[in-house]
Amino acid sequence: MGTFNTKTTLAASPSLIPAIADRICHDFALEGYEINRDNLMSGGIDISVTKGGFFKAVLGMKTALKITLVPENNAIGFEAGVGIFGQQAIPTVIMLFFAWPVLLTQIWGLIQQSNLDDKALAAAQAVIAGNNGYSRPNTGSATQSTTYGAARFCTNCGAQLPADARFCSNCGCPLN
Amino acid sequence: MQTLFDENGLLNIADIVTNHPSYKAIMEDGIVTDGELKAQAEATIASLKKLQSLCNEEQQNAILEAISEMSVLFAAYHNYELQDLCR
Repeated sequence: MGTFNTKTTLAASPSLIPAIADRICHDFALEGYEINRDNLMSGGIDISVTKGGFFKAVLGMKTALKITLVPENNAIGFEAGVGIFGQQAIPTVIMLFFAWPVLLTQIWGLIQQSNLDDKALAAAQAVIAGNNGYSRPNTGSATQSTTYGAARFCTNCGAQLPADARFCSNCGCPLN
Repeated sequence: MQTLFDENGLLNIADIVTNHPSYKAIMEDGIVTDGELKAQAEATIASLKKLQSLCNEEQQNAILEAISEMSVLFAAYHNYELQDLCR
């Protein structure tokens, strides 16, 4: 447990990262959260989870519960903290904002009070335990996409796509 | 009247900043110039001096304490981040 995040190592194959990300997105989308998912160069996945009225906008950017899954040798690094929704590349502006440490403390407090970090971690552990009643869509030739609220994701490569996309613009796979 | 905390008890400072005429004027063209930065620094000093002249000793101490605590947090947070980068 970090100061402003929940950090742990999950004893599971990094190949489970896409399935875990699917499950986390699915669970939060069911509760009306907006989801933003980004594939990382490291092979990991960043997920931003936000909801109007719960998370606060800071300098015009929406804050979110940011979940990061990264491969770590034969395990998975799990981190849940406060991030910026859909703007992962420019957190520096926020970091330099004088009041950011106060807001970070308050927003992280809300996340912990609502157990949102625990909820994300529980979803990850459920996939690993294999007793979740949730199976990752087949990623073979019959590629599918997953829709979470207004967003849609290719389940072959994880790219975020327009809701009406018929093919993945990243890997070219057809979407069902 | 704008309040320092919103209905959820969260500090309202980001909204206050983005709606402030100074911030709007500086960010209007999306570029921060040397002149804008200098003018804002001077406006900040003038505002603090005005505040000091309006407050009695007890109020001045309370304001000083609040600004100090926030500044300490800001400095400590950035040292913490640097520490993390060096690990």
